[in-house]
Amino acid sequence: MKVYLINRRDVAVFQGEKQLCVKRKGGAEFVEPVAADGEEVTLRFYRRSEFAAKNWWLYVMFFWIIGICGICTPRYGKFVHALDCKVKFTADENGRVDLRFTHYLDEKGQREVPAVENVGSGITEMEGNCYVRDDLALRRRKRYKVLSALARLACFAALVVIVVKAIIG
Amino acid sequence: MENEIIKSQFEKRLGSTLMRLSWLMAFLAYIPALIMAFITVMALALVLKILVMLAIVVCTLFLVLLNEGFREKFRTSIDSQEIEAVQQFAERAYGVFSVAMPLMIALTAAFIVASVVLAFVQKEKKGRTSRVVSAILCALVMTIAAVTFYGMGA
Repeated sequence: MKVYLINRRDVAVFQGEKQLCVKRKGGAEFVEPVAADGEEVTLRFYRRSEFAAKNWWLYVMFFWIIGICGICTPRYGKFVHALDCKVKFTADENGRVDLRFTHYLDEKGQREVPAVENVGSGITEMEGNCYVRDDLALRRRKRYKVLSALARLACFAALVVIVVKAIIG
Repeated sequence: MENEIIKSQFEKRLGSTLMRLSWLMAFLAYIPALIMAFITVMALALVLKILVMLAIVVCTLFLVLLNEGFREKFRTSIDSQEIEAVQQFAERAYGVFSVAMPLMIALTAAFIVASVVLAFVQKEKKGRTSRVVSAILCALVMTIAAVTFYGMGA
């Protein structure tokens, strides 16, 4: 059975404790949960920012150094909020499940936009299908940006001093 | 689950960073060729300048040679001090790159291999093809740079 994932981006899919391999065919992404016909399957869609990790500063510092002042490492995403959604359905050999993702968090609390939506049929239960605001990751990202800019300036200044000294010397 | 996510994010970021680093190395490997091209263009420009001056001399039936300023310009054009200075700089740069080039080639190769391996280790198939294409192109660019460098040296 295939579970199609529309607009998934960086959301990881788990079945139990095992992360499922997201396959691609003709531009469509899907996962194939392991389950016998008629068995109830629970998939967990999980997303956490790199800044939410425990040793986030070690992580970002490592990539800042090996990425030459962070220039050669991909930018950290602006959207840092967390998702932990559980989806239950009954496995059917010939059936398919379509899930659409929306990466949006209502900052003002005016309307709740579901991050995971069932487009077709077959889902029996869905819980936690909205992004949860992660202020800590947001603050860490801001802190990283400021410190990175300052460190880059310091490195540049040091380089200028070294070059000037080499030329004069 | 959290550990798996962190591991997957780490692998993804490491692969991308290594790919970017290998591209940076591949572009840096073109510096000696650029220096050589700069010297060639400079020499050509100098020859062109002298030819234009000679044409002016012939057109004015050598009368322009009576002008002290023109004679001075002619003398400074032929003066080889400038070219020597540039040549010295090029030789120094070449010396640096003859040591750095094998290291750059080895590092690029290692980064490309590591990046491709990391792309295939991940549980997401998204981005694998683009990573392989990028790796092939980077290897090609680096090979051309190396061939140009060692070809020029020979």
